[in-house]
Amino acid sequence: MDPASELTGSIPFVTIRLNLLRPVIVSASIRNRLIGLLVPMLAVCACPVDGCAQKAVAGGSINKVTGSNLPTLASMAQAVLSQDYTVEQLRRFRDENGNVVTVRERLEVDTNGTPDPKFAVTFLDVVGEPTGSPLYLEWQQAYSRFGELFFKHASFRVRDLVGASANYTLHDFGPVVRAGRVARRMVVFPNAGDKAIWVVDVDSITSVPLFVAEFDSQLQIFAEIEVVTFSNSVGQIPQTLTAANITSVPCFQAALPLFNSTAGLIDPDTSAVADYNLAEVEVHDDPINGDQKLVMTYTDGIDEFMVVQAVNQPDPFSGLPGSGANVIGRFRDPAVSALVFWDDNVAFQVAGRGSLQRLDSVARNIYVQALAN
Amino acid sequence: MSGLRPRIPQSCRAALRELLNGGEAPSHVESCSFCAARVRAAGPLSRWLGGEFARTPAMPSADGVSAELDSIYERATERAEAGALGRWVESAAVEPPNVAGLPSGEDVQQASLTRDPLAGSGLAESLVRAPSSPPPSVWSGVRRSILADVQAERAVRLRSRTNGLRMLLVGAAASFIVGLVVIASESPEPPSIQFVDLDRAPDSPFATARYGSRQ
Repeated sequence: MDPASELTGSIPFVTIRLNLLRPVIVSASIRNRLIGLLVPMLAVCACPVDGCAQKAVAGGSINKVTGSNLPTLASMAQAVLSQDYTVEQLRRFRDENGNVVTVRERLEVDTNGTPDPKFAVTFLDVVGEPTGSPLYLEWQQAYSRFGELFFKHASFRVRDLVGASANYTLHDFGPVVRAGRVARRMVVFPNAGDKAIWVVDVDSITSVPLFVAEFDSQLQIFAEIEVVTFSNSVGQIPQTLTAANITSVPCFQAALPLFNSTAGLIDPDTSAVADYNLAEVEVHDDPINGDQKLVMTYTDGIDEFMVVQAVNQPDPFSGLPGSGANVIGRFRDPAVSALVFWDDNVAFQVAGRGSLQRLDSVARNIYVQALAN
Repeated sequence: MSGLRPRIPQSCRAALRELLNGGEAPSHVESCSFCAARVRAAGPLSRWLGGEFARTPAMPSADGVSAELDSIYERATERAEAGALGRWVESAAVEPPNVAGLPSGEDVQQASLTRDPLAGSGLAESLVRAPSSPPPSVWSGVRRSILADVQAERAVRLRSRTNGLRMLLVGAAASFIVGLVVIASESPEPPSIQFVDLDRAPDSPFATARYGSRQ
């Protein structure tokens, strides 16, 4: 969807003095207080979930947990590399208006010893919606187009163990039972105040997350994934059409030969967020209209943000009053921070979590870099 | 001119005026030291003014002046003759010229030029005698002073050259710094960027991952 169509004609042009926001370092006392608040919240919010989990317990097996089986960030990172599994899980989406939609999906992961395992996400149904309803069809189409995004960028993963160890701390909250399996409730707490707090029920045997809840510093919940059934095996995973149109490359320079035109593409300056490192570089080819875009993903070990450069795009601000100035369009809510700007036929996007306000500085630096290019 | 004359008290003035007019000395003169001193000085002063010194000496006549000058001349000549110059003139063996045998005055002058009047005199010998050469130490001192002068000149030249080079380097550094300042001031300012708030999240992979379907 063309970003230009998303903009109304009555955008107030306000010159905002940009302040370089620094991450707020969370003190140990504040962290402990927030964690203390999380425990009763989880007891309230997770009641229905715990009910499902307890039902499953009656029909499943319970594994004993010893002190040496406490999950760690390293064990969770290792699970991505070595543990095949198939789960049926509920993913709850909260849209911009706060409406919640719960989608049932099946996730199959076939590890290959690399941080990018083969996987497949299959839409099953929308909880509470009959098959074939408009909402059902809408989400079915969304999963066929963006299912891979949900697994890669909307789930809890230890993307970089070194970064995760440097930027987060792990806190144990005791044993739970999830999907008929013994798990350990862990809280992954960030060292900076502009990142998400994660509550993860980690399977004690495989270290696969069986429940994930994402909170911000105000303890607003943004995402929830709840595993309903778990199997430590996986079948044959076919290559999806979406995957065929995405080419992973190791760095920015390696991506340039894949573009028909590299005019306007830049290697982004992300020095404003020094705790984030480049994790992925992908070249996306849209099979419908042939548009190409460069997607660069940066991570601090768990959290991530993206810099997208779409080539041969028109200026989305061209028809607006006062468009002679250099403009960065900014959307921010508690869930998403997205900044868009344009230069030299390339449409830039910088997107990350809503609390990461340092992305303003990142967008500004990249825009200055593009203007100087 | 007022203020330059000493102030004489009224009483002293009156007393001295009366004395000048020939009157008797009033009693004030005896009691006043100022008036008494004036009276004591009046005596020699009047004698000097009215005595022989009051007469100006007469100017001598023209004949008298020449006579006095002649006497002065004679007196000086006698003294010279009696002194070293006279002795030297007397001791010189110079033949007086034979005036009768000479044809003319020019010849006389020529003859006097050709004839060495000092020949045979010890004075001529002493005059033409080669002066004694100074000792070697004097020459070495002269040599040292010459060399010192030369080295001093060379040092001055070198110092001036070094100063010139130093000034050149300082000038180059100053122009370099000025050039840097000019370049820095001329460097382009960063572009101004405006942030505009959007009412809906743009389509991006992250927003899609967050919100899911956005139809």
